[in-house]
Amino acid sequence: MKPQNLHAHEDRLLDFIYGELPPQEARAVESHVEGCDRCSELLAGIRGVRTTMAQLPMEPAPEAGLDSLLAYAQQAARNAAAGPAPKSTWWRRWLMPAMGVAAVTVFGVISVQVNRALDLKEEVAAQSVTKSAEEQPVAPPEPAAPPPSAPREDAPQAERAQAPAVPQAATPPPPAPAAKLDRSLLKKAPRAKPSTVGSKGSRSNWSNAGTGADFGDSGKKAKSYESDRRDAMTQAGPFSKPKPILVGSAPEEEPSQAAMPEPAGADELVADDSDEMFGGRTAMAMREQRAPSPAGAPPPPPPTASAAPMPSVSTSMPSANRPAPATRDESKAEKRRTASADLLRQADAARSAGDRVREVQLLRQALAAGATGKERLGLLNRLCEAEFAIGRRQAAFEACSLVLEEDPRSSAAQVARSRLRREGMEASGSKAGSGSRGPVKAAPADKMEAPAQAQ
Amino acid sequence: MLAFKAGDARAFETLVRRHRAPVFNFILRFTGHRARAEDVLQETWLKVVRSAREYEAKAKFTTWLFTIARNLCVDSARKESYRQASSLEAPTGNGAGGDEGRPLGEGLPDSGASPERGAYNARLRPLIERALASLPEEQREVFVLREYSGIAFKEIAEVTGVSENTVKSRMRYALDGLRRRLAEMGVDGDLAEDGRTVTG
Repeated sequence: MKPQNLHAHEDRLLDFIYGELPPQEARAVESHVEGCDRCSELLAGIRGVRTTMAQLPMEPAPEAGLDSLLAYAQQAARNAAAGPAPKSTWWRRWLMPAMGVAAVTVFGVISVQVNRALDLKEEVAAQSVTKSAEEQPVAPPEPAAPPPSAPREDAPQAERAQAPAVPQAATPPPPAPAAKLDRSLLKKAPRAKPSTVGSKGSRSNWSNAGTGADFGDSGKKAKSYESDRRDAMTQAGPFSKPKPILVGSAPEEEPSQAAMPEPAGADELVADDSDEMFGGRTAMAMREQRAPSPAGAPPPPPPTASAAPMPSVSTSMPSANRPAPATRDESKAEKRRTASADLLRQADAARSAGDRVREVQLLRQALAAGATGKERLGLLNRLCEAEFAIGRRQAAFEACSLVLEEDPRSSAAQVARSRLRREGMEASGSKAGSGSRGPVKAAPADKMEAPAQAQ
Repeated sequence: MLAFKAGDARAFETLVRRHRAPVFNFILRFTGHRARAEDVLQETWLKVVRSAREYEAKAKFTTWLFTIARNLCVDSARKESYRQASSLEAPTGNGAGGDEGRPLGEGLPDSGASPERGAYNARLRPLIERALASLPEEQREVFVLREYSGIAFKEIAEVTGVSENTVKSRMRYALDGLRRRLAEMGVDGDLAEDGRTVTG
């Protein structure tokens, strides 16, 4: 028998022994085995092994883990009955990581943008503090003798007082008039805004003045200020609560002035509204210059009628465009708008004619005429651009900075920010001459006027 | 299994009650280690639950079940070999140390007395386990599946992933090896209890 046949035969014997052959074949194999000694021997050997190995008893399965297994199966059965789980397709497998990466990227971009904005503000604040620290020796003593533990309190006040002279220092005007103006303003500055000092001291932390924290607050309160300013323009009565004042922030000082007692009548209050404009602030400075103020005078008394704002008159504004005192806020606002629009048209004409210097003057007059809100921001942006165009970078920087301070979230602020960036003045300001740059928040009208006068 | 796949938890319990012991004995005799066998048994049923969605009634449930168990046994054996744990050749039972070289027939009373027969079987069992453990893995799995689990050669071929002829060839080698090993141990099939087999 060939080996292959032998193996096939043994395989049949295996099938026979394990009962896997059909009955007919099983009977055939059985009859063959009976007559074949070799197959009989082979079959006996297999049976002997099987008999011996059968002595190994069946082990009972352990019960350990059976309950947990059944519980797990029950839960799986419930899930199966509830319906098949959604099959994770390839795009689902990739979508989640992609979304995660996108979210992280967006967060990163936003963080960078916010950090840039904060850096710009901190830079402006640092410049304000530096400037005030430089000018502190010439600043008059504070009326309310600040404690030595809060030296920064002096800085912003002196900053406000010195503000009108800053642009003159930045530009090449004759030094003597600038110094004269400085001194006169220094004497009158404490008296000019007594209520702002008081309200500021009561509402804001002076130790944070000039720091990022304080500027952060200004950003948060920008909107509330807007509503307050509207109230100041529309309400005749005094404010019941003082408003927080920022370092040299012209708009922030307005509500405080409005909070003062108002014995001068509605006209004065209406006129006071214009103080938030450049012209208004210029008029305030001039008013203070005209007012009798003996040198070394004691700190001004609490807000009185004499300390109340006077009707603002812009020195650089033509007399025909001066806003006449009105009894109604609406009529005054309308006049402002008319004057501002007229000046803006003239500025457009000057720009078309290529006379950027004239355009700057007209823009400043339009600002002084009392532009508010977006119109004011737009004028400031245009002013910034025009100043850059005629090479007065310091004045341009101040105009753009005012936009950033007054409404840092507006589109106008974005434009101003990008313009500053383009001009390389976004980070440190050293290119613009940080040493000569004054606190941009202080008395913007005066500062805006200075370069124009320098011409 | 189809009922469990459809969400019937009781069907699974029925399957477990029916197949748990045969599967455990297969795993125990494949691995030769009780603790490992219990772990592999639990893993096997967990895998049955997890894989219920993929189950298709193309083959018998037992074939599918023993395939899972066999694969897990192979994995476990590989892990164990990496750990260089005790060899499958080592004695797995107790009391086999001094009786290894002595024929089981010596000193035993004649067949008939039940206590003596019980004592004989108690001494025989470790020898049988050692003989089984001495087989190569591929022969042992075929023998265990056919002899103790009652799986037909054709199904064993499916479980192990080889042809039926290969399975029968391995079975022949396994039977031949066991016969020689048992003879070396002095175990005679005729001395076994009543000459009966497990499945035959």
